[in-house]
Amino acid sequence: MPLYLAIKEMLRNRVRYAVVILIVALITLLVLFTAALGDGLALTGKEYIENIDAELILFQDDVDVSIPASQLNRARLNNIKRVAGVDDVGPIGFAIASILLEGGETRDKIDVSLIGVEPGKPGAPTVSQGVGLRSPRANEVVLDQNVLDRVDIPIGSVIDLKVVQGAEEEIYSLKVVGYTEGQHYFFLPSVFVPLRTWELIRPRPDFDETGMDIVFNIAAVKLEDPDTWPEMIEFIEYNVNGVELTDPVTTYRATQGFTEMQSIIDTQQRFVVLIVMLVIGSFFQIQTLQKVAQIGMLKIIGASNWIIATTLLVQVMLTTVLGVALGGLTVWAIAVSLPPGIPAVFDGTKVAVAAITLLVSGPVAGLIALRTVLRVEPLTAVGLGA
Amino acid sequence: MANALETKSISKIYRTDATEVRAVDNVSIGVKAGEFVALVGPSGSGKTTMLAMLAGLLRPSRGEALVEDQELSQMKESELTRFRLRHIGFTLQANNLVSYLTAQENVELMLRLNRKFDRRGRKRARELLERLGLGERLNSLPSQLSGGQQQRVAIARALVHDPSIVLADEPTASLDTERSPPPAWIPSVPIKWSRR
Repeated sequence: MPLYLAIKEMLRNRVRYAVVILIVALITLLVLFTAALGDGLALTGKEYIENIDAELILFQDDVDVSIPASQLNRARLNNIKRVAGVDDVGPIGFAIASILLEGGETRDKIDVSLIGVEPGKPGAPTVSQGVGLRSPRANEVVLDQNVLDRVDIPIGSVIDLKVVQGAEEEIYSLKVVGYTEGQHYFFLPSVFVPLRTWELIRPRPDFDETGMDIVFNIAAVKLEDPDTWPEMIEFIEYNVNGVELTDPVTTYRATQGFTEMQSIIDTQQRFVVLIVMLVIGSFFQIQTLQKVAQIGMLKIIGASNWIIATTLLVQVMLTTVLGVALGGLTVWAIAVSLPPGIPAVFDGTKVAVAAITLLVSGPVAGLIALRTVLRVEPLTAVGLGA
Repeated sequence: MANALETKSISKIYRTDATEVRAVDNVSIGVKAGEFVALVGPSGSGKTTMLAMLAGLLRPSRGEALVEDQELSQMKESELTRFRLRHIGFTLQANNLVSYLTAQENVELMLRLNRKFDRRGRKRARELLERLGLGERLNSLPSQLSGGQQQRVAIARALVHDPSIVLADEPTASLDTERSPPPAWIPSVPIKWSRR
């Protein structure tokens, strides 16, 4: 009976309900798309660190796990290598560069994270096509697949890498030897070069206190027993002076702006869910207030509160479900047609959580109207009250 | 024959801080099955209050109201709702119909609420509407019907589930005089049809 009444009313007032369903769909689109953009942005900020083949990340002491602020040298690395329980250590240096694309005088460019690694050591990328970095000094690069999504650069070709050194722009030509996948770092696709090459081409600081030694930012520490990483942090920090260790998750969460960005996106999503509740709650409350006389009449002829309340809840559920489904389908259509370069990641679990949140928020908002329905006094509602 | 409806010294008194209004004062009536009774009186004389108490919508201040020998004031709200649904047909002066249901669906609503909706019920609803002159308006929504037509749909709905008593609050108020039979005929004759 509630289903019959609910559907009849929705069909006979289809334009009104269609508008609300459309609004819920648009809000769903907003929720899911901002979630996907949030995840995408987060991923582009952390992907390389998240996928790194090491249990711990080594920093210079007192830099608050800040990668740009951290400066390490070979001496520290060698000390870490000698600590019992450490399997291997790989130095990693970060910088920003641009790949210059083929063209005329004004060549287009793709900004990339220039990551210097030691071939075969932790931190070096796993190659999906071609070969990995072989020599520590070679002018070779391994390209992140995310670069290839934007421009086709075949293995064996030479790319021009532009870096700013002091006040000058320098261009270095490097040979592409392989591809790797999923290696965004600091919101940019990555280009991996051997550490000595990186040292040569990276933007140089005005003052280098380490003199002749190669200075890099962090090191990836691989342990003999990965499960012991919490204890090993204390153990290594006790045995080697001037270093700080943490796990990869803490590392990418400490990336500049990462937490703030996540917080902004989360807050935005909460507000959007609140808007859904306001839209659905207001719509059904207004609907209910317009129907008070009719509800009173139904109660007079013998319709129970259960029937009337369930009818309302069925309508709220149908409106929310149809709106969320329509919004979900639109998001899916957008997801499959998005051009590369837009950092949107549609994580199934997060999409499901967002959809369930929206589905729950509708009925919760409908509780106000439900209260009104239950409190309708039949005689007063039809104008016969004392 | 036992009374289908009976009141024993029933009263309804509305009290405010300063005043006391006796809307119904010590009324005892008995109505047998098949009887047709009209409460007549000027506006404000307590007719609607009396009907509301007979339908269990208002609890009397004093006295008893019995329908089919069951004392309404002894029942809980949920029991009263169920009782009204099964044993009482009710029409109001206005706001009688569900706006998004057609004339036939409005009549069938009573059968659906009573879980008596089937092919026979559907036929019965249609026949009642046809006899009330609404054969051409079965699929019309209330907004497409005149006040009198809406009233006739409400009368059909009050009868379709074969209740013990039919309570009609000013059932002829909206009826159009030129096309309709005498006012008293409208509720009483369909009751006889529905009993056949």
